[in-house]
Amino acid sequence: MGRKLHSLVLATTVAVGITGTASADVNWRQFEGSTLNAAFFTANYIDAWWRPMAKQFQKETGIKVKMLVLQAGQIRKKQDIMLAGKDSTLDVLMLQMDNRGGKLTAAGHLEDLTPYLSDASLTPADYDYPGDWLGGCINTERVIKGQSHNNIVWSAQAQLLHIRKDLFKKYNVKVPTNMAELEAAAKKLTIDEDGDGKPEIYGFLSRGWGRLTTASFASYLFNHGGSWFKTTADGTKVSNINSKESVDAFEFYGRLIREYAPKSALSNKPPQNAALYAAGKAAMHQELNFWHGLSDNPKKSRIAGKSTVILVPEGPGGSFPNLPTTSIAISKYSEKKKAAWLYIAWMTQKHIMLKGQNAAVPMCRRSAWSDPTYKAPTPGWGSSAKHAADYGIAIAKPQAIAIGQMRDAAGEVMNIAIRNGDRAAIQAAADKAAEFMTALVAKTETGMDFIGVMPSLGKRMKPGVQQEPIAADGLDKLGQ
Amino acid sequence: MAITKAPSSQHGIPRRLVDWIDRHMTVVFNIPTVVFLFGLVAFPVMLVLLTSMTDWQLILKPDPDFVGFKNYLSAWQDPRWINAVGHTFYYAIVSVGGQFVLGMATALLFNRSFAGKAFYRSVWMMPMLSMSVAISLVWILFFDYAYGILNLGLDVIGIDPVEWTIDPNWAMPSLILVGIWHHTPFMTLILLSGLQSLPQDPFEAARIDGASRWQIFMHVTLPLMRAHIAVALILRSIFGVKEFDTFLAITDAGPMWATETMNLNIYFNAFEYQYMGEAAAKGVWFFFFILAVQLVLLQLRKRKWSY
Repeated sequence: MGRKLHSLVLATTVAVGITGTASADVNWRQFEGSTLNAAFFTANYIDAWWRPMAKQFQKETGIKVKMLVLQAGQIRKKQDIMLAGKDSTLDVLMLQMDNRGGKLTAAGHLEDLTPYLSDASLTPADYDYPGDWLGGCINTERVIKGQSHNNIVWSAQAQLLHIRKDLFKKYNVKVPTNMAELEAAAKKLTIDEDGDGKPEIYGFLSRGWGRLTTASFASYLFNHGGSWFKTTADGTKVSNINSKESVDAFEFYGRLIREYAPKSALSNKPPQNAALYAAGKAAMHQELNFWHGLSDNPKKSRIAGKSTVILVPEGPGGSFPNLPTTSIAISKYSEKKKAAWLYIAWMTQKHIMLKGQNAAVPMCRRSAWSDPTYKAPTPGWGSSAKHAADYGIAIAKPQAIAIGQMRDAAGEVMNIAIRNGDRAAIQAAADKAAEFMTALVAKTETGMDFIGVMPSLGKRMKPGVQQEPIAADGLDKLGQ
Repeated sequence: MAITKAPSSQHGIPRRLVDWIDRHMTVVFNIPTVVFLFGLVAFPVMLVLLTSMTDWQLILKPDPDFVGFKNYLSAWQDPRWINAVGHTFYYAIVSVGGQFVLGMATALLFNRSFAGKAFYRSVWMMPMLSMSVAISLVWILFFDYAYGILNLGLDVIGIDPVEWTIDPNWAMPSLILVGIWHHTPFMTLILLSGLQSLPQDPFEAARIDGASRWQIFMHVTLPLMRAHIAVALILRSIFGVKEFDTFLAITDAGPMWATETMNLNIYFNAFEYQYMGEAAAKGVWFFFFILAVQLVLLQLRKRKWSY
């Protein structure tokens, strides 16, 4: 019996070993000489990871990747026009499923990747999808009922809170774990050193410009117990931004910007706010965690080594890390779909994604986070990013098909919340926007089975997790 | 005298073809222009008219239905569009008015002789040569509430800082300021060329009759400059109504849509929201507005003025 068991274990080990080394069966040079056209967003990860890897990819496979890299707004329009025109020259595209994923899926513009994932000649046997993918990433993959695997979610950048360790230590301020502590810290760290009435350092910095605020505001909305939408008893999707909890969130976020942020925040785009933070003008900065690369760069920042990243403080509704993930997909009209998949499969292999992870690009592969060679930029950054990728949900925009108009409507409420601040005015603006959003849902989503990335998909954060990134940097004893 | 018969073809072109071209010279020479105009003007215009009567959406409704004039009517139920029409004319009138006053003043100045005139004139014309997006990026820095040069200047003279592009009430005046700075040199250029082409006799006669400088300006210079003024106003009004790039780069139609013009509204409908049919209908309305502005200004030019 023992020998039989031993034989069985040995046979299984051999079988697993064969499967495990099946990656050698993928002939990476099978499309040698091909050229792929890729349309990507401008982001730090392009130069940090995608471009260098494209060179290595070409060396190993003989496939050249021509990248068209434009600002997100421009590349989205470019991709949409090419897809609507069934342009066969677009092969690979980068997108955010919580943004245009629903539209592109509904229109059938994205190639179903299921056959490629199961094809041993195109996918390494140890690819392990979705087994090796973090929960937050997988939650954002499908936005329409019955949707196929038409994208690979590769990056888990999260909207988190960048904080100045040195200022919190110098003024002995408690690092916030809830909303009340956050406002108290913002107040204490709005510092007017020379007493001229103009603070040299502002307590809080975040997006304050119209539609862009939805991304930085989302965690505050959900943590307060609010949401973009809710489902009524009869199953109808309606806007929820005028609920008491949502208006509480608008009021709170608006007050933070109005009282503790530089006025420039009202017109700044994320790069300008990141530059202000890197110039040492703010104690806290609500933004995507990849901007840590700028504030930690001694050549470009005055606060290199002084900043870390924590989770957005918990609110009365809980803690919902906002995870606007990024996906990669193949155009339905590409004439080089297999070569395009080979590129995606190659880029999203474990050891290649690990390289991105080590270049401070938060990846969706679980194994990249647990690899012994991985070292986070700061312990707090690593801990907050990992928890966000695990518990996060893509709530950066109102989950809808007509995403542009929804963001604009929510942005108008935020403008009132920031500029006016009067509760009745915010409520009135939220009521008006909610009515518009509900009507727009009825107009654009009827019969579509659009589900979006709903918070119900996310798992509740365990007690104590909120504190972990703070403790990781040794900041948990401050303010006591 | 013996006449040498021309060869049947020259450089391989049959004689009959050459004769035909000779007879139909007007038609032949106009073919490239007609093809060009049809391809780049008439065809797109027809396409826009056709699109404006459909419910085409770029991604979600690639096979549109015919909806007649619905999009033309629904545009006027959209409060953002109505506001955008107002913003467009507010910007065009105030901005072009400011450019005209400043342009005329500088044209009169540069029409006189003074030391270093060529240098100052060159410097004055420089904004006109700058690219809109480049100057927009510079003005964004100027308008910065905390670190912009405008508020630093106000601070020096003891005036509270202004929320230039942040405050909905200040955003449009800020863009008008940029428009005046950017386009006044063009106005100066046209008006200066007009001033330099005027006959001197009427001015001498007015001076002999004892007219003051103001009277000469009002009753001699302005009437004689009428054609140049009309050209400058027509051109700048059309460009003013069409202004797009500085608006998009500096305020992106905000804050709270306070700087959304017709152009931007069409852009948002077409490329942000992807309602191509509605955007095309608004585009046609926009065309009629520009046509109306042109017709009004042309009528003003043709009118016989009495002074």
